[in-house]
Amino acid sequence: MELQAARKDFEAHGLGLAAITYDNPETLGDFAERKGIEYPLLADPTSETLRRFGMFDPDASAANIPGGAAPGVAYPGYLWIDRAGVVRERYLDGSYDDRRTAGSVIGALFPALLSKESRTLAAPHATLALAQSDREIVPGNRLTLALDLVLPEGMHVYAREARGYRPIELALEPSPTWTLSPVQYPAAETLKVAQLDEEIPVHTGRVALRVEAALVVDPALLRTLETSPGQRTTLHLKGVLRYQACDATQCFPPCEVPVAWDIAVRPLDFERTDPFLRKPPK
Amino acid sequence: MTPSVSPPWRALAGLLLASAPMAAFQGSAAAPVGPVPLEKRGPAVGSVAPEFRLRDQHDREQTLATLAGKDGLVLLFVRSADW
Repeated sequence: MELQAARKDFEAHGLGLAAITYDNPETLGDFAERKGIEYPLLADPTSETLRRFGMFDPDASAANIPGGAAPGVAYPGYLWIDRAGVVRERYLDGSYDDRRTAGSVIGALFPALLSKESRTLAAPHATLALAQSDREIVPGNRLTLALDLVLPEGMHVYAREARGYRPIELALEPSPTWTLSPVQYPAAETLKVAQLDEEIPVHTGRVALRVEAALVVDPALLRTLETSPGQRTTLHLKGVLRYQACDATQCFPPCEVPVAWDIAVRPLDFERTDPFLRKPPK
Repeated sequence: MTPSVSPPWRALAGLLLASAPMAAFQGSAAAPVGPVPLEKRGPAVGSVAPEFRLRDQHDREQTLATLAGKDGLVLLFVRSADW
């Protein structure tokens, strides 16, 4: 289980980890034993706590609740609650088919951890570091992709807001396999050019770009996974980074660097608990 | 947004729901309980979360105080550990 591995990253940063479901403690006990889960799984069989948190999903339609199961599930999401009970951060997902990974939450809370295992590429007048919140995901997961363009001292690139210049741009190949967020660019600095009496939005140092990518739950992909060796496949998310680097004396020609992230995919887990331990349908 | 496709059990759910024993279930589905928009879900950042006291998989009672580390707790909301 992905979260079991993420637990140590949360704990290393002073955060406990627990999951809450509408299952009864027996179902959770069986699940934890089968999956080797050690972090607390909280049982809210009446869905009362889910209601009080405003995380109760009233949708009891067949599309939301599979056959034989009781309605009253939680909406997907993560809350960071401090010791005083104050909600410090929240990551709520639209649906279970587009759900943020724990790795992505860790990357959002602790950005340094996201670039911990990065791949470095040479790039014109800079270094590129590519990282990702997860090496392996399941369909319906949303992970964070990170691209850090590291510029040497004295070098800058133009920011998105720089009109009339060649701004930095990360363009990912559109693909029916992925739902991609807009690229998040860092806040720009202002470069004052005395000779031109102009202020230009630029980036210097480490320019951290982030994209969230959700793997679409696609029947063809699920079939591919079933027949793949080890029920794993690797997808490649490709794009191109464009920028123009300048220093105090000159601007270099605009350049393009191809980039790609490799993401392993494993199948969804449909294993159910012992029928005697299941929550009775309502 | 690319439309996503339901996992296979959803087709099965549709079949089961069409059968007679699930009539009561269908009744509750017909209640006017439209989905809650994303921005209306969950406690707001900066607000105080509701207190809770729940049993875990080992039947131990847990609260925020028993679960939190020095800087608090990350609480994950999931659908079910069974399906």
